[in-house]
Amino acid sequence: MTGLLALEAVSKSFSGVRAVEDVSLSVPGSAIVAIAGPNGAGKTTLLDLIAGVHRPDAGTIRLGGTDIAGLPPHRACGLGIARTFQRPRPFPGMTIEDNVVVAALLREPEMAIARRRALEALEPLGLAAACGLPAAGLDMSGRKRLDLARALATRPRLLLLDEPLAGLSAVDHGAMIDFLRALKGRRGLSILLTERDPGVAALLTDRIVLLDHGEIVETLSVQVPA
Amino acid sequence: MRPAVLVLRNALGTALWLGLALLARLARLAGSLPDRAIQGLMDLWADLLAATTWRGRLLGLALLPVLVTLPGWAGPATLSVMISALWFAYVGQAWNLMAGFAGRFSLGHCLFVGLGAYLAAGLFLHHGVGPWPGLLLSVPAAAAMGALVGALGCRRGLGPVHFALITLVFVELARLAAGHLEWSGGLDGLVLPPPSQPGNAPLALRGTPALFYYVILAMAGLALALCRLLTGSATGYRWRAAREDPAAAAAAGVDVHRARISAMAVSAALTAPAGMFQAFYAGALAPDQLFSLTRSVEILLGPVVGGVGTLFGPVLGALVVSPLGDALSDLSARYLSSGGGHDLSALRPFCYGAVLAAVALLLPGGLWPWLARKLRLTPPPGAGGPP
Repeated sequence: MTGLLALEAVSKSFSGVRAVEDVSLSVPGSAIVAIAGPNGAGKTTLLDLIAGVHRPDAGTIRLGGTDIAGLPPHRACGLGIARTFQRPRPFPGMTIEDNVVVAALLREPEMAIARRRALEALEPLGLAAACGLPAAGLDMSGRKRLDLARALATRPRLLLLDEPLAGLSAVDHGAMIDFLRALKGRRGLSILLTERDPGVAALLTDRIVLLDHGEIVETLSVQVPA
Repeated sequence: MRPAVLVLRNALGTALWLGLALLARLARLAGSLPDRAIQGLMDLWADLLAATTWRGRLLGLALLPVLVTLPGWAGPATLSVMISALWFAYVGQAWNLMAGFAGRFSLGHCLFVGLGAYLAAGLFLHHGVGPWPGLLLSVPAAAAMGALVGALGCRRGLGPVHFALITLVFVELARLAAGHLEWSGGLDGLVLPPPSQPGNAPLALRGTPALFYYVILAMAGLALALCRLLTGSATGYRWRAAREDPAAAAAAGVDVHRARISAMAVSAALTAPAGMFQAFYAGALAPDQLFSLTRSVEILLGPVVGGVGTLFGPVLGALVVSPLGDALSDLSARYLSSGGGHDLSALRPFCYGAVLAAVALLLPGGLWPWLARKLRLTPPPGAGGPP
């Protein structure tokens, strides 16, 4: 299997419960791949394994040819893997801008430039105007967008999005889909996202992996509606 | 190898590696120092203007001449209270770097005060090294000790409680060591001889209380400036991210373990000069009095009351708590000498506890954020500016 990210026979269990079982999948460069499946299917665990939160019990995870299985999260991030969380995790006691500055500092040691990069990441997500406010005051949609801005500010090659569309109102849902579609055109960025509903996932990509009980049930290739 | 040995080896390795990295950084820094100093001062000034309203600036302007002229008009008792208040403001500032910005409460900062005090007094008595040159040894020694405590106390899987306990263990070890070593004078401690000639000698740090007042005032001011520069730097951003949410910080590329170790090393290094000051101001030190939990609690009282994780909180807290403690000690001593039938020496720790409880219940954010909001000394959130 080739591509930017390649998982080969990856398994992980927690105290006897199999969360992910013999999963192989690949994400090509500049593509979006969706993992769809019900709650408890192992979607988040799969992202955690790739992001370095857990070490797989078996199997290999390769990013651009190097094995990254078991690397701690900050190292994985340094290699170009950024992620968002199912329940967004902003730094509540810091301003919206400072939340993203932390991430921008990974690639840009100069504070003034990191600040500019942070604003560039916040702008298209509609958060630049409120950047001086504490992140604790954001609603769900704002938190999701901040999580995304922070992830993008680390300049990833691979973006892991954990249910980016869940819990959003109809308007925010549409805006997020538009934003993610626009990201698809960005050079050198691949996205691996999770979504409960395969129908919703099909709005974003034609490559959908169906996951249930930690195993791949089916790999779909669908027509993306215009 | 046994796990304990492995852990110790890892910790030592981390500390050593961190020390070397720090040295390399310092060497690189020294080259661009004048530039950076000017830039830093300008940043600081801009910060100060951005972080205050005109009321805050006015208050600052009014306070400055009071602080500068204080030894001229204040009596010896007031001066002594102010010296101790400023001392606690200084140490509180250093403690706050770890607790307030990197998010781990140390119960062991008396360790670094003690280290600084013993090294200053020992070097002076045994080797004739003056207090200021002595800092060249005690500050790196405290940084290394801080890195070691941090490396052990912040390992993956350990929580804030483990960290606090491990800092306590180190205090106890230091107390035992200082009580047994001949170099540190055993259980009797060290006593500095009275100065051979009268008059003020700032370089030897001997002289009148007024001299000590200006020295600690300058130290507290420098610490405040340094902390501001640190918290606005890339390192400071990583500290705060690690405090807010370690998992999210790691996902954004922050090495949380390293961030906490560096915060502890810097906090410890900044604490050591306070020990040097104490040794020369008090003229005597003993292990039981320096290395004790009570001492550590006194150190963290100022920042906790004033506002953990704020820049002015430790200063305000120390200026409130320390004179209160001194007044209570004074009260109980007077009561005893006037023939009072009860020993009131427990009054001071009791009132510390009461103040802590009151702040925790009424103003969990601390006195400074509340006061700044009430008196409108700082702009409301959203108008920009640092915390």
